[in-house]
Amino acid sequence: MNTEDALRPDAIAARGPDLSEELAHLVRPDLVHRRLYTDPSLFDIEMDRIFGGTWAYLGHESEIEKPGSFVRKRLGRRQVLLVRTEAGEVRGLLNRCTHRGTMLMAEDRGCQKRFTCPYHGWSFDLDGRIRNLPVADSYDRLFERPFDLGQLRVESFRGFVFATMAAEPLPLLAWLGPARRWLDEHIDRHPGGRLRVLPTAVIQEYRANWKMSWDNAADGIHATFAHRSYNLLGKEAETETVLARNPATTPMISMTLGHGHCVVDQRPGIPAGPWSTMRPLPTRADLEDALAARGEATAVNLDLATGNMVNLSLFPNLLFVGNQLMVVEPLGVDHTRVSMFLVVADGAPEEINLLRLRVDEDFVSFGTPDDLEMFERVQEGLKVVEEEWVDISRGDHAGDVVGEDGLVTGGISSEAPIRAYLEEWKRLMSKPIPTTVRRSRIEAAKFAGARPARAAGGVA
Amino acid sequence: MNVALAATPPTGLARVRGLYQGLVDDRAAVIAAGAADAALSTSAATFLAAECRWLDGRSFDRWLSAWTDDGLYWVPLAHGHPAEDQALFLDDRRRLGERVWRMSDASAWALTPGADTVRLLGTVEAWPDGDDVLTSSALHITYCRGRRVLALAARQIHRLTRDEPGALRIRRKILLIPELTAGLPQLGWLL
Ligand code: FES
Ligand SMILES: [Fe+2]
Repeated sequence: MNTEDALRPDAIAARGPDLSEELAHLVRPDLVHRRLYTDPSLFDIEMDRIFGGTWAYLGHESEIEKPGSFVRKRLGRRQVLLVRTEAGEVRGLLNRCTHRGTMLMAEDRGCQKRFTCPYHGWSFDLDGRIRNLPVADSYDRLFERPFDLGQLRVESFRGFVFATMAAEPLPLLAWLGPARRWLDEHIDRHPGGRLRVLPTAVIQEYRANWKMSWDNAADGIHATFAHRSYNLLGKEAETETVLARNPATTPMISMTLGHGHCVVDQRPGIPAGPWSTMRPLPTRADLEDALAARGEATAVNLDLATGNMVNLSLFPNLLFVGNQLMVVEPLGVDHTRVSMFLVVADGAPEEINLLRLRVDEDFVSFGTPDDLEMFERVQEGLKVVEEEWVDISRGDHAGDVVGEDGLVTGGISSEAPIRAYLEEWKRLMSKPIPTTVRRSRIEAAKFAGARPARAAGGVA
Repeated sequence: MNVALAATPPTGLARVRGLYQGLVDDRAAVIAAGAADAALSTSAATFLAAECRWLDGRSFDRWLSAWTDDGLYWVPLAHGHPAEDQALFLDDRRRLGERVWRMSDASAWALTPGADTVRLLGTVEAWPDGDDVLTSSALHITYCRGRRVLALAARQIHRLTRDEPGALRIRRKILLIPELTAGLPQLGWLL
């Protein structure tokens, strides 16, 4: 297979410059250069190498339960249809017609027998195969043309669907690595391991680089200060939110998990369990009473109503916060969208899921705005050209414990998770990554035959 | 119009379901309603204009005191149901109090310094519903904080009721904001 031929529909191409030397300068063990957050040319390369060149979260299988159901997602700048085929498989189809590139589906979700392009009426099966092409005899050798929809490589881990354009991605489990155990734990706390992701996300945007979400993901210490307002609300309600603890003594820990992933485990700081941190909520009293009346107001049940106090972050775009899946979507070098999808537990009592609806609203209302404010203020500060470097050395040789596997466990002020994701960022960004578009039918022989004919005939 | 809020069961799961269904019913009733009651619309418009003025003038305590104790304020994300979908928020009176408290909390960084807003109220339509009044109006909010300006349009549905002296109070409020599905900057300031 001569997949270096850029005209082939299954071409494998590695785009852009070798940045190894430049990035060795910009990302250091203890410092990171401001350009990572401000340089549009680096952002363009991120859209290829970080969002596409490695695995990223695309969606959850519960969003597409029935055959034909689809949801519209994005991976970097690519619109993707996450689809359940007739055969029950999960596919990630590029949401672009193979004729001229028209966006096929404008709906965020739906159920289709096939996807029909509104422009010239071409239609495609759920697995991306071209199904109907009106006036097909206007093509000389149609069978040679690669008109099946482009696809991403997608793979599920227990319902969580990850996608990549990489020609030879790591096996998904190798990419998850030690993060797998934490993801398992997150899934297993739901009765029967059953999660259902609700379709409508809370979508918030901030005017700052998407990596702010990563600098913040395992930053336990900001909670004491940036979320002071939220903590004061907790005091008023006489619940002890974890965030309000003295940061110098709180026993919560952060861990790097390889490939940029990390986790913050807040449970050591809350022996009474997650529900003990929950403030009064709309409908809480009624729903707790209803559970109690059936003898089901147990700690196990109520702890399910809130998050498990374990913030797992899978680089580059999925953060588990409370019962929400926070998906980070870069829109521009200083413009980011976060979509917060709520997860419910179908195996739990109805009251628990009704509580879940109100629980995460609390932090989204009184906590998240202050996070986003910090991100925008940081972005503002990074405009100063002369202040080139941001220090990321906190914790190193000052509390961090480096395991034999190279993974680091630190206290809540450790910046090891920042150093770790930037290491992965640098690895991915340094060299062009071979990527390819998958299609249902790539038959090398046909295209091998087509090449000389095309050249000779001057097909435009 | 007869949406009959009074039918809400007193406790437990049934009460929660009833409260949520009541919100959905109000939304549906307003959308399907015929021509509004002119006199009622005039008095409701005066009240809703005052609500805008209190909020724009940062008289948040005054605004809060215009709510009944059983007040509910719902900002759905799309065309959802409060028992099945996330909302931007669905607040009872207590949580509304927290929102108001944060407006003057010096450590609520996203709200400090505070924003200036202007609410432009469109035509107010009102219908009697038992002892309550249901209203519908379009609302345009211009929000200005620092050097950032945000414009937001919404349809608001109010269920108003009269207290002992006969003044209007807010019992339910629904704010339908189409832009929520497109993505907006943080709305921690929204009341
Ligand atoms: S662009 Fe889709 S059919 Fe022509
Ligand atoms: Fe935070």
